[in-house]
Amino acid sequence: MNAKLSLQHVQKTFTDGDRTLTVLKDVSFDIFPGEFVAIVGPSGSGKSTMLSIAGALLSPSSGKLLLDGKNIADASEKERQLIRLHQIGFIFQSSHLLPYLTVKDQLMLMTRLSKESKKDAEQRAERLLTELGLRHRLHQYPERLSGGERQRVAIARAWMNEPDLILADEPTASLDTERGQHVIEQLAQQVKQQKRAAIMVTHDERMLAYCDRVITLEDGAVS
Amino acid sequence: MFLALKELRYEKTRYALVAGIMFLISFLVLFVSGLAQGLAFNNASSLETMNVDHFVLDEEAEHQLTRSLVSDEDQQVIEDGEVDATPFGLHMTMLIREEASNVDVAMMSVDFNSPIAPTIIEGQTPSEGQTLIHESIQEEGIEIGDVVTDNASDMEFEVSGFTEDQTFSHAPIMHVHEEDWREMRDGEFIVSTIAIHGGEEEAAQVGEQLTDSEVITLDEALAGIPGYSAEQGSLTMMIVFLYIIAAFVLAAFFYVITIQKLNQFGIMKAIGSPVSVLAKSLLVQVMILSAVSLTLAIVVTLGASQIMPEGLPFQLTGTMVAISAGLFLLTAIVGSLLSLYKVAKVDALEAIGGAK
Ligand SMILES: Nc1ncnc2c1ncn2[C@@H]1O[C@H](COP(=O)(O)OP(=O)(O)O)[C@@H](O)[C@H]1O
Ligand SMILES: [Mg+2]
Repeated sequence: MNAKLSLQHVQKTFTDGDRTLTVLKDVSFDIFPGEFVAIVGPSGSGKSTMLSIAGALLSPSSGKLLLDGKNIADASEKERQLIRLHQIGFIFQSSHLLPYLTVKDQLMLMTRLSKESKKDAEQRAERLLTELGLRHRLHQYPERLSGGERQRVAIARAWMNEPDLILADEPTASLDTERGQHVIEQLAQQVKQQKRAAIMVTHDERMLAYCDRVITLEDGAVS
Repeated sequence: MFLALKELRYEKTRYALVAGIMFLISFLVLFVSGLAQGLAFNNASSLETMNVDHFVLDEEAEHQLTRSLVSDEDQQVIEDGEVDATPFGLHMTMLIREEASNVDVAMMSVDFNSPIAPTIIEGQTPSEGQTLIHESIQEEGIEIGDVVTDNASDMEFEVSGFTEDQTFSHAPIMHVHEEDWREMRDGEFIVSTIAIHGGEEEAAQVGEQLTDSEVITLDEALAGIPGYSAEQGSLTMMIVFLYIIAAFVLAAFFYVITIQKLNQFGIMKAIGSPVSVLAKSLLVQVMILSAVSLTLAIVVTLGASQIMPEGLPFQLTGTMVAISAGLFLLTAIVGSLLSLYKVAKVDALEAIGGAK
């Protein structure tokens, strides 16, 4: 089976003034469809940077990044935008919702951006939100939601365009344990059922039970 | 449209304030434009209503109608020619009144059967010893039947009626009978100017035959009126500056709003939105705000022009409104360019504060 996502000797250097900082030294790993992988490691070890690269938000300084076998390490901004829109669902540490859209519109925005038909999308949005326990919040603005609810909306939004790859950066950080576990359980289930791939950065040991594999990042390298 | 409208609705207060500023600026632009046009018309409504595009003037008159004196030779040439033309006399003078202040007027004499004869709104065509004066003279308390004295000639005239749109150099025009005009100059009919009926072709045809005179356009004739250019120039400058100020103010407003929203633009980009969607949304918002505030400004300006005092020269034609509206929209778009640039440049990760 071919890897959904493959990082090969990925390196990332930031220049900060005249200092250069090598955040990722040499990172290589593969993720296969149906796999749910956890990334752990101390703070500052480069987990978020690695995830941003995998999510086509950042370009690696060197190395290869294969998505469905195609190297996107040097993809143009336009190509990366299309990849983010259609192929990747990104869940940030904080929900990053748009303040002026209601819960349902946050999801509808995704299908509008991908120019999908509205009818199917409405049903899918409502189903996703119902599954995440947000049925009663459909027409509310983010400011009225609790932190946990907002994060669940962000998760639903990441699912909305049915991407093959889900990337989540400490998605449960703002949720209480019970909610957090519930959300991750659902994420794991979706990944299994629909043969998708997911990578989750987490600090929470209890979440690891839902993952197939744990990758530890230390000082910018897989250990 | 989706994003633009949802955001306008959500951020009502903020955008209402911006629209309020845009309304005030566009109202000011329309108002000053109306004033400029009104003043221009009020200055020389007699020339503007003649429906004549070319005039024959003495070459040495420097485009000033009141200084011009068309030579007998040139008068004869035009009279013998095939082009329709109407000579008229014009000079500035003053009416002397006992126990009341004197009034500046322009005295004009023209064949009352010619195409450029004044429109009488009250009273009748004057015979010898009578005069028709522009209606605004009534504000001085002058009525039909009153007798007025011309300071220059010391001649007395009985007011036979009032005209409309007959002013020159902001003064009301008094039309006198040709015989009276002759009498003032010892029997000779002094021709200041000859109005040429027809277009460019006729004007050129006349121009070729002249010896001491030249053909000038209506705009040149207007510009030749003392004070006309200065008046219009300063108003035009005000209008130009208003547009420049509008562009800067709008640019600043849009920019500040855009900077405040960088985080949102970053989110949009991070979830895969193309720049075009963001740019379009911004432009749609600018267009909606402009359209709403412009419509309001037009309605208020037209409403205000209805309740303005009679004496205030104000005139706003449909063309002028359309031109102003177009220019204002353009100004708003120019004002949003800086923000568009900023939106295009925003880095998704940076804007949302790293991959947090
Ligand atoms: N844009 C950047 N410019 C400079 N340094 C950065 C940038 N982004 C991250 N870093 C640095 O890279 C290191 C790893 O950051 P990060 O990937 O956020 O680690 P983690 O998510 O594992 O805590 C940190 O030391 C951080 O300061
Ligand atoms: Mg991190």
